[in-house]
Amino acid sequence: MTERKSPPEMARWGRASGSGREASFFMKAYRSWYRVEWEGLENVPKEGGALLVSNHAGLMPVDGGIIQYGIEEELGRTVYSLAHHGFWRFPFAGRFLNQIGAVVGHPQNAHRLLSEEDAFVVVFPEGEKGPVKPTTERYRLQRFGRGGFVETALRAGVPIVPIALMGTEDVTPTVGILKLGGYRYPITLNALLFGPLLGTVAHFPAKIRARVLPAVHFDEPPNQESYSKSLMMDSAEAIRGDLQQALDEMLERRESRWLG
Amino acid sequence: MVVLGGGTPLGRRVVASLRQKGDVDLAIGIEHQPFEDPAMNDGLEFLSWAPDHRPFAEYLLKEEIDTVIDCGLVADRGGAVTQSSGADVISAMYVGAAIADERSSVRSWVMASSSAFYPSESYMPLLQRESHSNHPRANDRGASIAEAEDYARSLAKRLPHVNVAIMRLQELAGGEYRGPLATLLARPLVPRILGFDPAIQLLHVDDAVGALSWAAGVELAGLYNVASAGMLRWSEAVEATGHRSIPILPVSVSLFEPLLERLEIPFVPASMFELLRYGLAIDIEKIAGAGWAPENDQLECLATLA
Repeated sequence: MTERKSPPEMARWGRASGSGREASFFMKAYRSWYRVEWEGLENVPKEGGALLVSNHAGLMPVDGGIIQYGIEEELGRTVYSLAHHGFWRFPFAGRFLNQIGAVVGHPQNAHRLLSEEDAFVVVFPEGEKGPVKPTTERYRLQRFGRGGFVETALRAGVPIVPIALMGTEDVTPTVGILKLGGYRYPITLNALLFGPLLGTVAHFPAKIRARVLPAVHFDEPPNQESYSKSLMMDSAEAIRGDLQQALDEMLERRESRWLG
Repeated sequence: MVVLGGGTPLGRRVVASLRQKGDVDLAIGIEHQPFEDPAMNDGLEFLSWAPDHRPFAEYLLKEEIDTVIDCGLVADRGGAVTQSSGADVISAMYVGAAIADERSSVRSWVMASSSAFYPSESYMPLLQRESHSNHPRANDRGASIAEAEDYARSLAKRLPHVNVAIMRLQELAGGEYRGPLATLLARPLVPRILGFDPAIQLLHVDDAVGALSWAAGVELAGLYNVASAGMLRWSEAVEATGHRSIPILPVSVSLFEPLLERLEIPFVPASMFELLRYGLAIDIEKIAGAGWAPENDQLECLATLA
C-alpha cells in the first residue's frame, strides 16, 4: 500500500480562527450583555466527543453561540453547531455560519465531528419548531422529532449532554409567524421595534443562565446497521423530560428576566 | 487486460501504466472508431459496438482477456454531459453483455465512474460517502451515470465470479487532462459566485491512473470514491493557483453563455453553477481501508494549473 500523504492545511469546515472578529464581538456580548453564568460544567465529558442538546428559540438564536463559545471559553473544548441547510442557500449566510463554527445539519457531518474529531456538537432537537414558538410557549419544549439526535449519538458512540438555557428565549421574543415559500419565519418583537435587519441583532438584555445536566450514556455499540426505534424515541422523550424539568425549576427560581 | 476509452487522455495513461507493470501480459487500448488525427490512433485497436456487443465478446474470447477497465464514462466531468443521456448505460450494457458471455474469461471489470453521481446541494454533507442512496433527478448530469452504475451492480450480483469495481473519480486535473473545474481554475481570472465559498476537491490524473490500475491488479469489487488527498475551499484553490478571482452574481446566465464566451467575459457555466455554490467533496476512507491511498494532495493538483 502506498504511504498516505497528509492533506494540505485547510479550513475543513470553513471555520475562522477563534480570534476572528465575529468571535471576539460575540464574546463581548456574552460577558457584558447576556452576562452568562454556568452551572454543572463538571457534567461535561473531559475527553471524546459529545452531543450537546438544548432548548431553542428566536429568529437569530443566540443559544447555539452561547453554548459553543461558552464551552470553548470555559473548558477549552472545540464545539460546532448544526444549523438548517436552508441558510446555505443564501449568499454570505452559509459562509458566515461556517466561519463562526456552524455546519449543515446532516447526520454524516455530526458523525464525523463527534467520532473522528472528538468535537462537541450542539443540536436543537426542537428544530424549526423552536424559533417559531410564540411567547406564550416560552420554555415549553416542543416535540423532539423522531429521536434522530439520539441515533446520531448512538452511531458515534458518544454521550448526550442536555443543557437547559434560561434567558435565551427572552432576547428575541416571537410575536407572530410569517409563512413564505413553504417555510415559517418568526416575527420577533425586536424586528417590530427596530426593523427587520437591526432587529435580528438588537437583542433584549436578558440575563442568561446555562445549566448542564448529567450526561446520558448508552450501552449500545457504535456504528451499528440500525438501532431500536423505541430506544431512540424513549431516550429522546426522557431527555426532553429532564430538560423541561430543569427549565421549570430555573424559571421558578428566576426573580427577574433582566437580572436573573 | 483491455482499456475501453483507451484513446482518452486518462485511458492512454492507464494503458501506459499497465504496460510498465511486469505482471500484465497484455494491455490494449480500445476505441469504437479511429480518430481523425492518425497520430492519435497509435497503439489502439478499434472495435465497433454495431450492431451489438458480439464483436467485443468475440474479441475478449480470442485474446483471452481477464480484465476490462472502462474509462469511457469520464470523458468529461460528468462523462455523460456531452453525450446523449442513454449513451453511458448502453455502453455499460454492451460491456456487461460481453463479459456475461458464458465462454468469457473475464473475471474483473473496473468501471471508471464519476463523482458527478452526487448532487451539489445545500443539504448534502461536507464529504459525501458511497452510501449516499438518493439517485440524482432524471435531468441531472449524474442520472445517466447512476443508471450505468446500477447496471454494473446488477451484473455483479448475477455473476458472482466476476469482480466488479465501480470507481467514482473526482474532478480530474494534472498533465494534459483538465476537467471543467480544473479548466475554470486554470483561467487567469477565475469566477467565483458572490457570497459562496464551497468545498472542492480534485483528483490528480496520476492518482486516477494509480487507482484504476491498482483496482484491476487486486481484482477489487464494490463501489469506491477516488480523490487526491484533502479538500479546499474555492477561495483557497484560486489562491493556490496564483490566479485572481472575480465575483459573479449568483444568477445563472445559461442563455448568454455563447455570447459571454465570445466576448471573453468570465462567467460560471450553468452546468457548474450548483457546484460553485455548494461544492462537492468525497470521502475516500473506504478505498483507503481497502488498501489504496493517493500519492498527491490538492495543492499538487493545483500546481498543475498555475
